Amino acid sequence: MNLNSELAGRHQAIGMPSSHDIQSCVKRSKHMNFDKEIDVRGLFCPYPFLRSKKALTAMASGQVLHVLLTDPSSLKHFGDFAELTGNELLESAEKDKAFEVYLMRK
Amino acid sequence: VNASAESGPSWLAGFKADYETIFVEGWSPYLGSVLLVVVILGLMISGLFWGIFGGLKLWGDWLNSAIGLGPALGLPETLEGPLLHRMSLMNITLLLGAFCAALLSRQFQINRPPKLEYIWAALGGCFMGLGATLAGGCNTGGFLTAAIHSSPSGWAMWAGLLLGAAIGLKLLLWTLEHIEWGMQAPPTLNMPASLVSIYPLLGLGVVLGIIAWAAGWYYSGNEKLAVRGIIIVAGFAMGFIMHRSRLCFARAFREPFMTAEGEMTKAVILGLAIAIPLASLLFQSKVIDPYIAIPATFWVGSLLGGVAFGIGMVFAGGCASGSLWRMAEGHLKLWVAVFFFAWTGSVASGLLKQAGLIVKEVTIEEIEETRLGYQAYFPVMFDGWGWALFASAAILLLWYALVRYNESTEKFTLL
Repeated sequence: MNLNSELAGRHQAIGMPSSHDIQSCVKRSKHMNFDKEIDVRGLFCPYPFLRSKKALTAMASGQVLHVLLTDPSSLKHFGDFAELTGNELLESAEKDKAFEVYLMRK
Repeated sequence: VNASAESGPSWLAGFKADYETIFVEGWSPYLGSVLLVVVILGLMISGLFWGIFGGLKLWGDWLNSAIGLGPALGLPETLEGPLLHRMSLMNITLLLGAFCAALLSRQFQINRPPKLEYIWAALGGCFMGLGATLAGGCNTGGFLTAAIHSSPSGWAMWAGLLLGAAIGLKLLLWTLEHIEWGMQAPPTLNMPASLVSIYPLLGLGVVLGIIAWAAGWYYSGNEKLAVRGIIIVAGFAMGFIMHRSRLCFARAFREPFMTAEGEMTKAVILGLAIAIPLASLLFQSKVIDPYIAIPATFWVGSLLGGVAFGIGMVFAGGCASGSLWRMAEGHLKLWVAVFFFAWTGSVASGLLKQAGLIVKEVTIEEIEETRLGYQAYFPVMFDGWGWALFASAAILLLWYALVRYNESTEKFTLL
């Protein structure tokens, strides 16, 4: 499944191994530090975003949230959210129908 | 970067890259909204309009007749066939358009949500069915199409939808903190790779089938079928566009309260800003009668219906149109939502009609009236198009200003 080849390319660009398992990707991506992680894989709109925003709101400015999700509507949604509200999207990547996103609280 | 573009002869790579851009990568919601307006205006030029609830209600009527509730709900003995009923046909072809887009992008996937989400989908569907009955239409017929037809009933439902989305979000947040049960996601169903690899071919098959069906009816020599040929193409186009741009009215109403992000909201505002003045030209040149798509629900029905519908769409995770295209992408949650939406819509319509609330009467001004409101039309209320267009523009501008201000300040978020 080739949802978004551009993101897959970026995935490679940040040095992540092309593993089949998103979890192992995460474990090995130690260079991207985060302060809090939420796993919303398998949940549907609006849950992934609702939980992410709730977690982000509870964090301090400059802290990084790591989100694991599968809802296909959500990846682009995170990009729009970051661009329009000033919370920074540090990295987003796609792997085997799952996505991971790093967001920094503004 | 693009594995599929690297195989095969080199001249093929350019075509494959274009295929990815058009059929695989998501479109901007602004493009989606503008294209949707083009289809809506095309329908209007053909003397038609876009609505979804009427078709869903027909499906619910069939179900209620089958299980013996027909007489109790006052349903007619013979119901129109789902393929001939105009809105039902538009829903079916919208589903096919979104299904086709999902196949071409290789994004079709049977998705099962956690157990609790099925319950919220059913509950949300029921609220949407009730809301659409009260407002005389869903987010399309009750809000979008009514607003395009310069009716304040669209804006009364808009106010209700905003309030309903806010209430729904608050309720959903409460459940998030108090209900632990049933939020464990089931394992993902993997579609066989051999099947996924022929998705684009299947998608092409759907396109060819639609063309053959539409052309067959359009050139059938039967006036009734010819009109339905246009509906087939329009419904298909709308489903395709909505899937490609992931157009979502639920997101447009909910998101400013949730994350403050207003991309989808602004896309809907842009679409209306284009559609309303162009539609007014069609009404002024008498290409179409505006009243055919104005519900007799201003303002009580529109407002209350909007609130109920707004709560429902937040719980279901999709409005009427959004639920349909997500159904076609394989999300079982939205199958449940649409089932209950259609069923409750039929039940609520039957009961409210028998209670006398939504029985239409024609007034001396030759407009329809129910106990929940009347067919309100800005140009009649303001005695001309100047103030009528000004009223719509003012609301759109206010909506845009609030959403844009909120994006920077998060003043209206409820989290």
